[in-house]
Amino acid sequence: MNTDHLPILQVLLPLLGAVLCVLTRTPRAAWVVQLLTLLGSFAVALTLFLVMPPEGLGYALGGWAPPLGIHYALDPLNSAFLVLVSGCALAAAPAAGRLLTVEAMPAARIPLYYACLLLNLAGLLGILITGDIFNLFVFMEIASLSAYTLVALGRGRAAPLAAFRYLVAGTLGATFFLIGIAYLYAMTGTLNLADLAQRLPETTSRRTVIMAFAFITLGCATKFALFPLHAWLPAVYRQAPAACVAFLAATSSKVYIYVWLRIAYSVFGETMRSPWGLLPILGVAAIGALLFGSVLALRSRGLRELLAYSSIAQVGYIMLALSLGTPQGIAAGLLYMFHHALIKGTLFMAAAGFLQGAGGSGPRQLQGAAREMPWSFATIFLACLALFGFPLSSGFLSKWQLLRGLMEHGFWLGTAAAVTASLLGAAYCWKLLRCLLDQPPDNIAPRRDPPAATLLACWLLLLPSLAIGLFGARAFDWAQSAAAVLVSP
Amino acid sequence: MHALFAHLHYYAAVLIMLAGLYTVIAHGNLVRKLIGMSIFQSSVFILYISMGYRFGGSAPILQEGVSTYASPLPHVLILTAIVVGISTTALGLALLRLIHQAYGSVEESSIEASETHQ
Repeated sequence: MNTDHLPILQVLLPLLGAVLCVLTRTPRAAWVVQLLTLLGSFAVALTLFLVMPPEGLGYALGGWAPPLGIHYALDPLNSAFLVLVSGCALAAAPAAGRLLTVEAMPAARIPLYYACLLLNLAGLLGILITGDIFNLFVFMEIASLSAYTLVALGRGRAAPLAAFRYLVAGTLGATFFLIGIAYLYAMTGTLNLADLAQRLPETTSRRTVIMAFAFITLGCATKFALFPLHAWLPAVYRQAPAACVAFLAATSSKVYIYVWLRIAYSVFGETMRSPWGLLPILGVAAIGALLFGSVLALRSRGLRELLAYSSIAQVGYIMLALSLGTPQGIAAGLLYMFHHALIKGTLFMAAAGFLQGAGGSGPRQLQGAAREMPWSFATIFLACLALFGFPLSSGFLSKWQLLRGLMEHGFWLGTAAAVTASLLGAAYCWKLLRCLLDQPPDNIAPRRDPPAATLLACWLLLLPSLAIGLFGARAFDWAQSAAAVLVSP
Repeated sequence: MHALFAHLHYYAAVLIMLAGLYTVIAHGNLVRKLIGMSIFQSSVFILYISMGYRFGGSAPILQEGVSTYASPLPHVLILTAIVVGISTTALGLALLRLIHQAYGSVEESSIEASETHQ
């Protein structure tokens, strides 16, 4: 099979699928189009992951050679993320049709909803695959604008408000990112990531390089909601339609963390380890995120609110690992990103199942649901074990490697914060499970497990994370080889 | 003194940038926030466009007797960013209409009051 043009197909397929969705007239036809598109883009991602030679794969758009033309660059790191993102989108797809009906989305809007979802996917995949920093910005905006629209399609009254605040924060972040690009371009005259990495050490003005890095970090941190830039996140995760919240929560913050990681380590490299370096500041912000997110998750009521605050804390773990700057830290962070994407996807999908089976995922609907909804309970139980890091789960593996990295580096404050946050994590998971096992409240309507498609979506996301936990050594080997793309061990 | 004039466009861009950012943060009216956001974006457009200018340079079209040209690349880049900016503003305005329908107001204080009232 000729695989030469697969890199461009990875982005083109969902873009074309989005256009086709707009052209379809019935919700059913649009659902079929999106499912086929997602199957196709997952197949492309998987093929790329499997056929890619270890030294990577390049694709010059329109035959224009880099650094002048736009160049797509694949390596062990981003090809794995392509599989993760397209896989999460595919896993959530079967459940989408019924979830949109439960949320009473008007039939005329449903094809447009699917189009937005595919545009979002195209943007995220484009961000991952491109080797050109301005192209990356454009894909970031495609992903962001479609994400704002998706959030605004939520059924709650506050959904447009959440989307608007997300839009303002996201645009400020993207514009900071654009300023960073301006500095880089002014100094080097190039936009190609690999070319930038070569030319940056030759520039004379270190202060400008540091400012560029600061702006890019600020922009990315707004996008992945690092404490204290997280204010937009809880409302977005509460208000987004149940059909897409699992996909959004699982993938979009991971992709923006990938952007930061790629630019920080491949492009800036040694610059950011300077005495001016921002890594210690990021470490402190990560500690803030850990503690703040965990405490608010413990205090929250309702499943989606809990998951939203827990996501803020998990970004803290990931950034704590990545801000160490050591190969061990980066490998642990990468592993954590995969673990968190899969587990949060599962849990948000389970929350969507509560909307179908119990009419919502508020404290009243959760209370005592274990008996009436045994499958949902089993899913949440296993996912919670992995979330707080029960031995043999993916969460245990990632937290263990993170703690190893922290102690190797001698960052004791970080170690203490990570341990405290893990205990708080166990506490909020325990609180959630106890609430589910409690006596049901009086005169509540009968509840039942959601349809098979929703449970299937949960398990499609949960099983890979269980596999990561069981084959921990191999997963960590992969993480180390991917980290070697960024820093030489 | 020369440095000040040579970098005048950068100072202008930073001033506009700060004005936009301040409007986003300080105002409780969501329309003003959106306007501030647009101003903030425009300042970055100016940063890019002025970056491509060369003293004594002419428009980047090949012609007899001209050897210095302005760099067209930042202009082309920012054309894309302007399109993105227009879409963002349009989407923001559409969202504001929905917010106004739901709450009857675009003032943050009265929206919050009606949220807690519920």
